Amino acid sequence: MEGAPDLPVAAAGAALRSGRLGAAALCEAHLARIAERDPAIGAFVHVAASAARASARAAEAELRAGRDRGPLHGIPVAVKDVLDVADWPVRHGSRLHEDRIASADAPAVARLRAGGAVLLGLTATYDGGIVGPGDDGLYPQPRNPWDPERITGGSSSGSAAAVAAGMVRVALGTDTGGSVRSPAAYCGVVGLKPTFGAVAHAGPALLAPSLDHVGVLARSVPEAAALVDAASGRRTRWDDGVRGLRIGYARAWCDGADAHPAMRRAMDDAMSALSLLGARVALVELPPYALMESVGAILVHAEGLARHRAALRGDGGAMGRMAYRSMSAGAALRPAEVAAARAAVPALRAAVDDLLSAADVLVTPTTLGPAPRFEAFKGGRTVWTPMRTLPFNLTGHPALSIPMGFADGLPLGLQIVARHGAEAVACRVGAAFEAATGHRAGAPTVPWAIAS
Amino acid sequence: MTAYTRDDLAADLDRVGIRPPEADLEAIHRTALFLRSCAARLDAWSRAAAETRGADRGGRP
Repeated sequence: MEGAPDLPVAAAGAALRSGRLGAAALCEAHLARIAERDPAIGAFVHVAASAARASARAAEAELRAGRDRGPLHGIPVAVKDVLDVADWPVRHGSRLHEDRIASADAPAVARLRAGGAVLLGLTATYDGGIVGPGDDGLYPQPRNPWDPERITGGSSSGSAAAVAAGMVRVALGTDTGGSVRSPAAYCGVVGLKPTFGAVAHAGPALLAPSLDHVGVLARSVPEAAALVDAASGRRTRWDDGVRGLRIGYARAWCDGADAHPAMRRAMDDAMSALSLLGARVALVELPPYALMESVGAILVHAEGLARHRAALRGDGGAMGRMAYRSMSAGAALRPAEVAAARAAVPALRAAVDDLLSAADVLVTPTTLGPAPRFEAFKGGRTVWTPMRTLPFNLTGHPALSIPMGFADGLPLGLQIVARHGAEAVACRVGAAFEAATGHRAGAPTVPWAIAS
Repeated sequence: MTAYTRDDLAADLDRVGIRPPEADLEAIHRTALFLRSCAARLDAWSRAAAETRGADRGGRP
């Protein structure tokens, strides 16, 4: 049954400002939704009910007094368990940080707080926000609301699950190789990784400084843009429709030995839909995916090893085994190879920029199939899930993942990439597609009564 | 790409102070082999790009 937690951010904001809905009541409705649904999902690892109620009451009083802090004022938001929230147990999903309490807000969180957002709680991540889903982290990994036997993807696992399950409309995540966009695709929600550096990413737990981005998960494109705006201080605005926009379709990136058979058809259907809406779709050749993935993998492992070197010493102690195994392997790289990877980045970025000089956006699949089953990862087995996200962490271009359709009854994601700073163009295409196709109207029908 | 053996891996891990339990070695080795293949792919691309640049200049690569 639909209720206040199902109101889009703009509609909830209008209701709060008209007095038809109070921020305290909205907060209570979200807390009740979490209590009802999260036992079957496990998206939240810390629900800050008292603090949320207090900030909701403050927001309600301010709005009533005519003090308006912006579009997120009074709106509940969830935060991934790697972004610091002062005085909260931000533990990065790792036994290494079991007793950690954050001393100050991360910059993105501070901006949300200043904008009057109601911080509801922390959402699950992989051990250290690195790799997963492991079975030896600080807490169990969340289940995919579309099928509890399947993973959510990660490492913004809980944020994606919380949005997909209707517990919150918007949530913060982070993305070093696809950690916002792949769980968005697997969970049938929107994920937006803005331009590198657009949202400040200071924080102790992030993985690879040259690739780390703060991003968002949301139920719709306009809501994703609203949260990025609130976290960055920008204003993202776009015109309706895609008539005349040039879309470069990287069809070769749909293929791969591990691609789901339905993927290329789903992408072709999506391009047909955009063409029907008036966009001009043309095939483009991005640099080979395997090359961009190689450069990204080298940098992730080299920077990750450097960042976590102290924790990795000896047998890694309390670090989860998947994270330990993955980061340790960075020792196999030579300094000259890491330097070569760094030297390759400008050329790869220029190749993408070149394509974006003739197209307004580029499109690829987000992942090459729907969410895998948990059993594929049993015993800490490392599984390289096929994605198309890491290249745009390398190049820093903004990239949006939106629901594109279904395979085997599970959601698939479409990735839309725009020029640096042009999040609005990616959002324009994404908003037109979601309005025309109604994929976001699809919602999981997990029987919430299933006990976790 | 030349062979990258378990002994090579052990030496590289030791260099950075990592001493994994036996149970972790196979998984680390698999990921290390993936990274070695990434480095080889990048090297091949860098050489080809350098040759193209050389040819574009009309000189030797």
